[in-house]
Amino acid sequence: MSDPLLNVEGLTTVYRVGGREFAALNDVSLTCQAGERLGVVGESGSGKSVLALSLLNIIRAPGRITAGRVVFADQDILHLRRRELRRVRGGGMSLIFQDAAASLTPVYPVGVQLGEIIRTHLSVTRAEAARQSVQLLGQVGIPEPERRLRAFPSELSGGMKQRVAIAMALASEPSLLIADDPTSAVDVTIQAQILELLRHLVDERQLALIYISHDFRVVSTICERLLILYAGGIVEQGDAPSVFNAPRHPYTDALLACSPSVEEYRFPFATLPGNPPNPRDDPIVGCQFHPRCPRALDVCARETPHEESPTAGHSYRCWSPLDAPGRGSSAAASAP
Amino acid sequence: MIAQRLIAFIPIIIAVSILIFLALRVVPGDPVTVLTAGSPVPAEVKEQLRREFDLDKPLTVQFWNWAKNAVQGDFGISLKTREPVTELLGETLPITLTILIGGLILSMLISVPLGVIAALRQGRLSDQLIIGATLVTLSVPVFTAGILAIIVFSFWLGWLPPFGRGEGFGWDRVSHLLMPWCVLGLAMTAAQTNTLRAGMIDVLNREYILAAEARGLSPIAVIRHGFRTAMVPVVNILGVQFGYMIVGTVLVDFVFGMGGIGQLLVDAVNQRDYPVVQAILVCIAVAFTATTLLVDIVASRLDPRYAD
Repeated sequence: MSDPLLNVEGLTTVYRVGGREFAALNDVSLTCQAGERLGVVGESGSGKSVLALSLLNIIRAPGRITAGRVVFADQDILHLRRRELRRVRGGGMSLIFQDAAASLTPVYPVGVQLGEIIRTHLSVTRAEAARQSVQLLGQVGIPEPERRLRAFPSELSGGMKQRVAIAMALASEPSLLIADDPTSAVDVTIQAQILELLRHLVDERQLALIYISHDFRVVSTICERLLILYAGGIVEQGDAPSVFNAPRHPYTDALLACSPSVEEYRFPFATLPGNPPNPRDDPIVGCQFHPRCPRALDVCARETPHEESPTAGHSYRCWSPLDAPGRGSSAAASAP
Repeated sequence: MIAQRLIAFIPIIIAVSILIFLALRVVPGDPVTVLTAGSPVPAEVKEQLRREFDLDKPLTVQFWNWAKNAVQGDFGISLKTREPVTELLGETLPITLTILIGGLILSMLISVPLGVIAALRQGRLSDQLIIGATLVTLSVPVFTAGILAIIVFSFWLGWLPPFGRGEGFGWDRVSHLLMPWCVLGLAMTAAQTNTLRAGMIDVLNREYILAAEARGLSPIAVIRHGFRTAMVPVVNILGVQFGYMIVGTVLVDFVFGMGGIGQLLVDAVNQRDYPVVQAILVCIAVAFTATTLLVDIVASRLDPRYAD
């Protein structure tokens, strides 16, 4: 296999919270091939957004990347000069933010913002940039794109804003699109549309996609490979069907049990007891998940599990994995 | 929206004019005493003066007559010099506006870069130096700064003329205006710099700034994305500062002997020259209301959300 488009090794991002350091991202390694669609699943606080920002090396104080390597298209992102880094941001890797409304500058019309991105990354004339902007707005399904160019973000609906944000991410013609839970801030009906749009655009342009979400089902419909993030670390990864149908890590299993689906609608919803580690508490020794884990052994509280990969294309970090075939017990999820 | 606001102006100006008119009648002192310079005159002469200046008529009629003429740009004649008030305004208003606008431009030229730099360097030495320097300019009263400037630049260095308004449109004029501009401009810099700094710090923490960076925009482009929003409170401050600036120009006028509206107002008040005081106050009221409107227009141009 050729060099992957994105290769991340041991990426660690640390935040200073209340006088002590807290690893929001802990020794994360992943690869993404050109055109591959990677899903990252985790509950809130698992480090999903930090991962997205770390890939672009755009972590702000009080956070900083303390270890690891991010290699994108043979460029060492963490040691690039500012000018080259700017070329990668947007130009190579594009990020769609979770809250589109908050990621659009309120004081400039949509067309100005799109045009600015196009002219920053592609050397085209103002007129050509305007033409491309109209085209992009049309491609993301915005009616009357010429007219919308003059609209301010505040004049658009939530779904429209997310579409504009997607157009902005595509404007610079990236080869990797990172979507940070782009459907979490919009209505369910819009969610499906946005998801379909993304799938279509990624297919059409043969982009690599890293889709980050808290929603297992959303991710598994669009991605070929899944990564499960817990407390800043990857606990399980593998081909989507394999992880989805035969999870090995108890956390993955619990997450699956918690995702409601139309077919097996149950009320009340299953929940996962406990909370992810709190940055203000003492760091957890051993497996980060063990305090909440129904299958925890003594060793889990002492040592961090190694990465096990019994089958090709599926690996996990657990001392007490579920059995390989079929779904394990859903004991981790309780329905009060 | 602008047309609506302009219509809303009319009752405000009328109300303010009535207030000013009444206030001046309530203040002790008889205009006739001013007209006769306090010397004893026969009762018939006094009566004649009263008739000449409408003072024998009821207040309502006096106000109506005054307002009717004022709308046409005729503010009556000065009790002291017997010159038309409109002419007096014509002589003094341009120089005052020149000082005011020049000072404003100068203060913006100083405070915009300083405010942005301070915000970008938040907590560092350059930020603290900028805050410290603006606090110094804030703490020095305008007349003290003016006198200091005259001592240094006129008497010690001999670079600039200490008094007068200069002539023409060349260096002579500028050399006379330079110190008034600086003194007035510096007095306004502190509030503007600190407001812009606070606004920029707030804006730079917003997600759309992070997003702009993530889209690979240059640092200057990223700052521009936040600048307009950060300028809105500064423009609002300017509206408030306008009142302060009028006091400032009166003082600057006085210190540098510019012969502007400030000097005219001080003299007119001292001499109970009602028509002059009244005309100047109404002018200030109109300017004040116009400024608030202008502030709103500029702010909504800067940030489309402002109108909501």
